[in-house]
Amino acid sequence: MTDTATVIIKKTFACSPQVLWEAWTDRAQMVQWYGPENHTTEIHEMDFREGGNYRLTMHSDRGQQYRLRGTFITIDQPKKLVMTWQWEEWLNTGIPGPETVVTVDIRSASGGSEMTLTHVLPDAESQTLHDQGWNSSFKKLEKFFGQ
Amino acid sequence: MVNKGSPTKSFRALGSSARTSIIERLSREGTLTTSDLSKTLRISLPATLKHTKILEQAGLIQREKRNRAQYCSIHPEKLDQALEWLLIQKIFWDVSLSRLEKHITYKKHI
Repeated sequence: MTDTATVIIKKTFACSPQVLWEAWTDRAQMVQWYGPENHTTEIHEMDFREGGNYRLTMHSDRGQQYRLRGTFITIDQPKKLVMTWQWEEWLNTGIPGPETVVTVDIRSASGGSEMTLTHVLPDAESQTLHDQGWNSSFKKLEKFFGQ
Repeated sequence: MVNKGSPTKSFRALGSSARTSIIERLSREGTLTTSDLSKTLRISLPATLKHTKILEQAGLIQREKRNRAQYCSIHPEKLDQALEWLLIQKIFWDVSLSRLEKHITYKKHI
């Protein structure tokens, strides 16, 4: 397969780039919105500098835990944030998730700030998943997002 | 890996939030009619028909006509690992970013 799986989301927020930047990078604000509904986010480590790591856990209100880790690659306030993103365990399967890259681009636009989020699963990682038999089940998705 | 439609086609099919919402909904509920989907997702019936057709062409869902209604359900074996990853991350960000939007609106009013 030659396609790289990429999630691209563009969204406009009614605030300045700086306010949006702070929502992404201030740990007190991040825990307010990061993750699905019915989850609380706990940040264990956030070494906010290029090359610094972060680690957090999302706790579902049904007692499940989803751990996430990554490294900040580019910090260019308030325009660009690049970080790696890896589920330490993919939705309770016992297998780590792939190492992927998230890029957040922010620019001022009429009505506030336009943010483009790009999340890339590199081909090599996609192949690893395949080899590990990282398997598809909608039950996992349901547990993670479901009521 | 089970035979699947073109991966490119499947990736494109999941490029729209409406379509990932349809997949998310079907993954929770099993089978739903096009009109149920239209009501719960608050998108027009013609738009729902268009989106479900694209998803069917990409091999991600199946549609079946019974008693003048159109029933949709997921084809889970058609989703390979990369597509599953894509779908979960897309939903993760859609949900998180709408929470971020609320967070920012709330901050403005305090």
